[in-house]
Order: sequence, then structure tokens, then C-alpha cells
Amino acid sequence: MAVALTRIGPAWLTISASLALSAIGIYTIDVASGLRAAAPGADAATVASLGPIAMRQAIYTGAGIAVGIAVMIPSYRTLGAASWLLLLVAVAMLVFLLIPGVPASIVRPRNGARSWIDLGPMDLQPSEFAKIAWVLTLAWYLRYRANHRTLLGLLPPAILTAIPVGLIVLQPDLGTVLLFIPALFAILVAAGAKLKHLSLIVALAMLAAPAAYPILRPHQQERIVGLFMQLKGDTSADQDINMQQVTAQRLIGAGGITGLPEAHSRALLQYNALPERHNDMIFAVLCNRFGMLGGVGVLLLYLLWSLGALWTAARCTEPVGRLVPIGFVGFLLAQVVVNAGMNLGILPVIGITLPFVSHGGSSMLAMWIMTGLVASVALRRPRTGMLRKSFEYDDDE
Amino acid sequence: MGLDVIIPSMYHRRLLLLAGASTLALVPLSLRLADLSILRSTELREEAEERLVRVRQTPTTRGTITDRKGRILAQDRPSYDVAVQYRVITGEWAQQRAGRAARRSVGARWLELAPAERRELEDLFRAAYERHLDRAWNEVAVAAGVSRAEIDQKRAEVVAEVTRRRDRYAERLVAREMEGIRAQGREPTIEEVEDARRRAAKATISEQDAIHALLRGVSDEAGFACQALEDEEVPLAMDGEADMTSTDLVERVPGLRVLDAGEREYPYESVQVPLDRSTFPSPLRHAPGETDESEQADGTAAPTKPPLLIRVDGLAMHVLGRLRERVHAEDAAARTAALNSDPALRAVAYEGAGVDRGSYRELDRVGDMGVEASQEPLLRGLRGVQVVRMDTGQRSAVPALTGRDVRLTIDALLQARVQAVMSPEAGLAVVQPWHGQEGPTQQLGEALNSAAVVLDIDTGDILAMASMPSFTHRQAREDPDAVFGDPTRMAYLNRAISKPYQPGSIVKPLILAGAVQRSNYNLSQRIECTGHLFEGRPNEFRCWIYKRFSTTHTAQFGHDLSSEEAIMASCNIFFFTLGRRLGLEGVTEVYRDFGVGETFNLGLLDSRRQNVEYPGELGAADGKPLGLGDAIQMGIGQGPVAWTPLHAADAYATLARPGGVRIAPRLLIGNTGPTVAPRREPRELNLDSAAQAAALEGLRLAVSDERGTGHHISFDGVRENIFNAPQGVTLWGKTGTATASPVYADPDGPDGPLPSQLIAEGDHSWFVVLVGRGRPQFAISVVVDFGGSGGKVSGPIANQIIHALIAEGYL
Repeated sequence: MAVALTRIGPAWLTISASLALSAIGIYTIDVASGLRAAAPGADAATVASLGPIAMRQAIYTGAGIAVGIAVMIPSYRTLGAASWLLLLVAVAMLVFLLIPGVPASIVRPRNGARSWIDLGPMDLQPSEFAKIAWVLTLAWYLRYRANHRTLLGLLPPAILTAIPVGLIVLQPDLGTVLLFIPALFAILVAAGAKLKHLSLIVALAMLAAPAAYPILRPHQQERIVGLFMQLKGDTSADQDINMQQVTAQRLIGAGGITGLPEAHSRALLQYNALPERHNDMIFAVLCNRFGMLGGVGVLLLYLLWSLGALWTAARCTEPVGRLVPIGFVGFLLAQVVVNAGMNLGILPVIGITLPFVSHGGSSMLAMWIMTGLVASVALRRPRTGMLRKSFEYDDDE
Repeated sequence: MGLDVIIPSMYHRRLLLLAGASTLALVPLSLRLADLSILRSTELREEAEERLVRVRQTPTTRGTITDRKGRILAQDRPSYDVAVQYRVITGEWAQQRAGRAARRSVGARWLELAPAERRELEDLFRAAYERHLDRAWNEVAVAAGVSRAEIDQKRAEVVAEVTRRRDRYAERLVAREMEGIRAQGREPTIEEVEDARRRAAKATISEQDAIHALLRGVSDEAGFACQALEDEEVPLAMDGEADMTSTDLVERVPGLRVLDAGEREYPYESVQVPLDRSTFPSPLRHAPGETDESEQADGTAAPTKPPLLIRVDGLAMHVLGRLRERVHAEDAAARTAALNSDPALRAVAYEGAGVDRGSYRELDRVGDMGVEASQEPLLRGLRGVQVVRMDTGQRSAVPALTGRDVRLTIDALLQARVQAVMSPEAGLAVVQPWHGQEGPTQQLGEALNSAAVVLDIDTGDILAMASMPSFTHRQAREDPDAVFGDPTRMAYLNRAISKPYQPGSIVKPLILAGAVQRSNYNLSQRIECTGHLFEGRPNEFRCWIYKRFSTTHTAQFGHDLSSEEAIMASCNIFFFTLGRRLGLEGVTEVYRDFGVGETFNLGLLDSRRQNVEYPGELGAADGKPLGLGDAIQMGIGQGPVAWTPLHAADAYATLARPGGVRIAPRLLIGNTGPTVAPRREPRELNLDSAAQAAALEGLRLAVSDERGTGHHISFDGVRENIFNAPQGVTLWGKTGTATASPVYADPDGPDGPLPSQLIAEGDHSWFVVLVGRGRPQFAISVVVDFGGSGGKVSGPIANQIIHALIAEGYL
């Protein structure tokens, strides 16, 4: 095993980044809980211990690491072979969420979305696992194909994507849906799809985007309007639709370059009453506590995670192992950009968590599964020359 | 060398592309982060820090108003009211906060929730807020030392009262709408009635947004205990919903305000004054059944008469003014203006807190009239400020600054005596048989409205300023219609300075001094009283003696009149002549010299913060140009001229000062604050001293020579001196009878079918007296509305004011 672990190579970057981000997440969630009130008679150790939410996150992290290690045990190719089944299970769970009449004790709508299955100690978010199953399935589908290098050949991957995406749209969880697009593009780019085809699709999507505005739901339109108001310096909605983002930016700015002492940061977070500060707005908490340097540091950790995954893929010659880490990088970075962007007020608010750092069991498990699969790819790197190299084409268009 | 040469693998080149894109994607985030954390950090941190600080203002005490001798006329009695927002009292607050908290708990995701999910979330919070509120009421009860049942009962009472008012308002709205429909000549339909009711049911009244006192006048201890609950915030207990508990802070007792009730006390508002009836006119010297002899019928000595005890209610009310408990927008504007005009006051107001510690807050008491209004910037004081840093508990405090005291020139006990003398109970200011004024508008025993001013000639200090009827704070509060709505009594009106009166004959000595000063008359000249000024026109410009007795003063005296005799006898022809000689310009100048057209800036305001003083006026009411005829009339104080009792007292005081120095009357001693114009510097009129002496001699004779118009009155043919001051006290006085326009009231308005009713007619009665030992020391002016003869009605009142000055040690 020790020998095997040395084979992990650049995946250590990913694992290290995951550990660091998870630890930062636990601590930041604790800070987000605000002032720590000592109960009468409580000893110093009790006061210094983690709060209940951070403690839950620590447990999720532990569970996540365990699951991450567990997914390293079977070969990722075995999982790839079972990917259709995994996707079927994920799709079944997504369908289950949408079945009318399922008791609220099992599927309780939260924040307007039927996205969680109540498992007692924790809630399961099937879309998180659908992401993994989808990446495995797409990688498995593309492993020996070249038809995605034609415009029509892009259709099957699009259809494959549309199945989970459609079900997630119905929940509705627009944020998660949006993450599939960069992940799909990342996989297609890595798989050798022609850039001109992909550029054409992007250009058409950008042209069509304004036409989509009228079909957005009113609250989605409001958020876009709110964002433009912020960018124009219009403060009239600062106590209304923009309250969450304005508060987040205030706390980020208050952190300055190096951040604030813990007690000070806790006080500011408590009395500035940032909504969703354990979840979607955790990046603002982090920047308040650790400042700009902390924020950039965390972004670099995500970059480190991604580079580790990309490097792992680069060292792999097997097609599934070449694509799976790329899909995860697409998901992770898209999630980071959207989450940090909405905290910083440059993107509209959509319900997206910050990987490893935001509070939540499903997200944490999913991220550690991704980490475990990246490590699995690194562990099972075929020897050079054993297989022909996948996704190598002469023309680079 | 192309990239495909350096990196032959297309897959690796694509990975490099993805790595570059990944890195680039983080660049805008980092730039934005730098923008917030470096460029805007200071500003944003200040904003964030502001939310850590809770600023609480502590009550102050309003300044005291004292009389010239330090007697307290108005003071604050510290006490506290425990008040709560109406929507908290009703419990509606829990629903409102629950809605907000539910929104905040999910942030922007709220918009995605289905209605049922929103309701579910709101219900969760509402239950928590209702539990919180229930605990809060218990805490208030404990802090205030009352039972929870009492709190609940008070809440119910407040809700019942507000509901009643709201219902009445809704009824009025419906009635008004129905009237509008009927005005179109038709009856409203059932649908219209229902529609109007539906709309009215949605109407709200201001009380529904206000705070209401649940407990009034609680002790210091209870007040402080409640204050401790006032601004504290605690996490909302969500019963198991730990995630939400950590984000929602709530006031420990929502909407609680501990108000400085600071009840204003007016210790001299109601006082009992003993009056010695032995100096009254003989018909008023004894009560029914009492004898007026030194011996009784059986020859035994009559017992000493007990003094007449008069209860004076509303002492100096017109001067002191009152407070109200509703803050108007104008108050804040006036406060800003006052601070802007007085940098020193502004500096103190902003000291320590960076905000105006004297700014108005809901339910603050505000000076509404009189000195309470004009001295508001000084009296109201400055609240203390307690700044609490919520995270560290660090506190800093700027102590409250008690309002500055205001000292009046009024002598409270002299004022009380003056008001007692003018009260109906004393009998001097009521319609009496010897007045000869009975008529359809004046029944025997009916109270007469009146005013009096006592002025210290040397200083210009107003020692007493009375306007009758007066009123009490309680009457103004509980029966405002009687105070402000009665067109006959007009109790709110300060007749001493606010009501215009024609001066009548009291101006004659002033006209004399003015005519001599302008060389229109030589004191050695005598003028014949011809009964009427113009030969062959016996019905114009007549002397009063000719009008009443068809004779002349020349015939009465056996010679033409000197100036002294003319004043003594109040000869109209003499002063018509002076008026004619002065001409319109000259006579106008004389009036202006003696203050007509000026206010004195005493510092008395009405509820609109306007100066209540009437400046006096020269000119026709209809704006017609004046002519010589007007000048002649103005020579005897008639025609187009009006002033107030204070103008009269001031003019006589000026006449009495050597050289005719005008010293502006004052009511406030010391700093009068930013809202009162500075007192005018003394100004010498350069009157001819011989003319002043002649005028004063005429005035002395008027009250001491039996031919003087102010010498005596007759009761059933028996003459009795008007004045009975003890030996050593010298008087100089003059009667006046001023023409007054009749007063009509229209009970149903100008468009109603009922005709206007005559409610008052006749002449106003004047008497102005200078009094002193050896020299004039005090000027007293008295006017009685529609009293008729100055000598008969105002004279005895002036006499009693002189006795009041003696009783209070001024003479």
C-alpha cells in the first residue's frame, strides 16, 4: 500500500488541498456562528470547543475522507464500467425527489427546492452524486469514440447531460444545473472536441442569452436587476433584494488585507447578520476572518486541487482516467467562481456552495469522492506503452 | 516553434488550455477581492463596525422657570413612563418580524419558495417570536414591579382605546363620503355604503404606528430596571432550529421605550390670595350680611373682617405657556434653526455623541406656548448618551445635561394678587350696577374680560402681566374647547400684549409731550374748550363734557384750560387742537415715539412658534389714506390707532423717566436664547422736561383733584374716591374710554341660516397709573373689555393693584 501511495504523485496536491480546505471550512463555519456565549459554569475547554454546526461539519469531513478512501479501493475503471448503473441510480433518486406525495419526512422542500432526501442524521442531496455519476458515465461513453469531433457527434454527450440536468431543473436547483455546462465543456475540450464547434455553441448561447431573460422567473430577473444596480452604485435596493450581497461585501471589505482577530470577526458576523453565512456566503466569512490574503489563499488551494487533478490526468494514458479528473475540475472551479463571484458582488446570487468549505454533508461527501477518484486515477496509472494514448488527434481545431 | 512542437500531445495541450482557463477564471475574483479589501476596506469596515455599537440616550430634565424672586413657577418632577410600540402591544409585531426573519433566514432563496413553504417558515418564526414576546411581558412586569395581569390589562386598554378611535375615524370617513354623495342630490346606494365601509375599515390612524404608555409615572427604580431591558438584544430562541438561532437577534423587550415622563409641575398654578376688602369700592367691601360700620347695631365693635380669599387658577399661564407631548415637523426645523443661530448651543448639543442630544423624539415634551415655547432650546436640556460596544461590552457615557433655568421678571405673588383682583370673585371685573353698562349683552354679575400690566419704570421689568380669563393646564388638556374655542372669553388670548385696543384718552399726556417737543404747543398757552371743535358743527369732534352735559370745561373752570387742567379734565377740545396742530405726520410720529408699531420681543410665542405680541398699528383698517380729521381724532386716542396694555404701560413709564427714555420692557432675565431677539438698547426721546412735568401734574390732578376724571366714582349719588392708597404713595393716573367694534358670533357659520348674534358691544375701559413714593416707580395699565367708563371699572382695579404692590413690599 505504501508503494502504491507513492504512485499517487501529483494527486497529493489534490488531497492536500482537500484537507486544507476542509479544515478551513470547519473553522470558518465555527466563526460564522458568531459570538460564542459561555453557558454559566462552562469551563474554558467547552468555550474553546467547536460549535454544533462546525462540529457537524467536522463529522461530515471525517465521513467524507472515509468515503474518499473507500472509493480509492476499487479501480476507477470498475466504477466507470458501472457508471451507467450509477447514473441510473442517481437519476432514480432525482426522479424520486420529484414524485408527488412522497412524505415531507423523506423529501422536505427546503429553500423552495425538492433537492434533499432526509436520511435522519444528515440530508442527502442526490444531485451531488449525480454529478459524479454523470462524469463517470460521460468519460466511459467517450473513452473510445471520436465522433464528438463532429458537430452532430456532440449531440449524444449533450443528451446524456440533459437527463440529470432536466431533472435537477425541475427541483428546481438552477445553481447546480449551471455547473454541468463548464464541466461538460471541460470534458469535451480534453476529449478533443473541435474548439471551433465548441466556440460556435458558446457564441450561439451568448447570442441567445438575452432572449432567455423574459423566460426567467421573476426572482431570477430581480437578482440580475439587483446585480446591475450594485454595479451602477445604486443603493436603493441595499436593504431589500441586494441585502445579502451588500452585507457580504461589507464583511469582506471589513476583513481588509490580513483579516480580523477571531473575536472581532465573530462579533461583526453576528451583528451584521449575514444570511446563509454558514453555506452560500461562507466565502465572505472567510475573507472577513483572514482578509484578502486568506481569500486569495483559498482560491489558490482550489487551483492547487485543480492542477493536481489536471496533472494526474496528464500522467494517465487510459481514456476514462484522462477525462474523469477533468470533469471534476470543471465542476469544482465553476462552483468556486460562481460562489465567490456572488459573495464579491460580481455575479448574481444563486444557491451554490463553496466546495469543502460550506456547511453540508452531501457536498462534502461528493467533494471527497471526487478527490478519492482523482487519487484512484493516480494510483492506477497504466504503464506507459501498455495502451495507446487516448484523445490524441492530429488536428488541433 | 509552435506549441505542438513543444507539447506534441494534443491532449496535453488541451489540459494546458484548461489549466490556463482555470487560472484566468480566478483573476477577476482576486481583483474584485483586492478592490473590496484594499481600496474600500476602511469605508466597509466602518459600516460593519457601526452595527456593533448601540447608542442609547438617557433622559434629561427640563429646566426650571422661576419668578424674579426665585420662586419656582415650573419644574420637572422626575418620573418615567414605560411605553411600547402599538404593534408590539397587539402582538402584530410577531407576525411582521416573523415574515422578515423568514426572508432573512434563506436570503435570496426566499424568492424561490412556494407560498406554502413561505407560510411554513413564517409560522416557525412566528411561534418563536410569540414565545419571545410572552417572556418579554413577564420581564417588564418584574422590572416594573407589577403583575403580569396588570400589564395584560393595560395592553388591552390601549388596544381598546386605539380601536375605538380608529372606529370613530372610520365612521367619520364613511359619513363624509355619504355627505359627498348626498351633496350630489341623491341618497347613497347600499353598494356605495358597503364600499365606503370596506375602504374605511382599511384606514389607519397615527396611533397605530405610535408608542403607547403602558405604565405611567413609575418610580426611578422601576424606570431604571426597565431601561436595562430597553436596548438589549438576545438571540431568538427557535426551539431546536439551531441554525436559525445563531443568526437572528431580537430586542429583549421589543419596542420598549422608557420615557422621561418628567411631569411638569407648576407649583403656583393655583394659589389662594387673601384680599383686604376694606380698600374696595364700598358696595364690595362686605359680603351679604356683613356691616360696613366700625360698630354693630348693638353698639359692640364690629369684628375685623376676614380677608376675601380668592382662588387664582392659571397663574401667569399666558406667560409660562405649556407643553405638548406630540412632536411636530416644525419643532425639528425650529431646533435646527436655533442650533444654527447659536454656535455655542450647537457645540454643547453635539458634545460627546456627534448627534444633537436635544433632538426631538416621539412623545418628547415640547414647549407649545409662552416662555415654555420661546425658551425651548434652553429649557429642554440635552439627553445623556450611553454607547455600548456589543461585542466587548465596553461602555462610554456622556451625562445628560439638565436644561437651563429661566428667570422671569414676573413676581409670582404680585401676579397672583393682580389676577385675584381681576377675578370675577373679587367683583371688580364683573358688570356692576354703578357701571351703567347693563344691556342685552351684559347682565349684572357677568364677568368681564380684562388685562393688566405692572411695569417697573426704572428697569422696564414686567412685574405682573395678567389676562383674564386665564386657564389651567388641566383645562387646556381636558376641555380645550372652553379655552380655545369660546369666542366670547377667548381665554387663550393674552390681552395684555396680543389684543389691539384703541388707546382713548390715556394718550392725552403723551400727545401733550409730543406737541411741546415739536413746538406745536407752548405750555404757557391756554386753550378754550368750546364743546365742539368746529364752530357751527356741534355734532363733530365734541368734548365729552359737551356730549354728556352740554357744557364746556372752560365754562366749568371759568377760564381757558392749561395743559395740566386739560389732562386732569380729559378735555377733548384741547387735544383735538393739539392733534390738528401736530397734523397727521406729527401725531403719527408721537405715537411711534411711544412704541406704537413695535413689539417688545418678550419671548412669548404661540403654538405655531409665532410671536404673540401685537405691535400696535397706525392707519385705517380699510387702507384708506388718512387725513387731518384722523390726526384730530388721534389727538384723543381715537381713530386709526391701536395698541396694547403693555404699550400703554411702557409709554407712561417713558413719560415718567427724565428726558423720556424708552427702556424696552422685559419679561426674561439673562440669556434669552436663540429664538428671542436681543433686547433693544434704551433710547432717549428728548422730551421737554417742562412738558413732562406738566403732563405728570395733569395726571396727578386727574386722580387727586375732585374735578379729575380719575378721582371718584359715585354710588347712588354718593361720591367715593377711586384710589385710597396710604399717605406717602403718590399717584399719577388717567382714565380712557376707547371705542370698540361690536362683536358678533355666527353659531352656524357664515353660510348657515341662523343670523349673527351680537355678543359684545360698548367701549373698552382704560386706566393707566403711575405710582411711587415721591416719584413714579411703577406703571400700571388696566383695560376691561367693553367695561365702559375707565374711571368706574378699570380705576378700582388699578387701585387694588396699587394695594397689591404695597402688600408685596414694592411701595
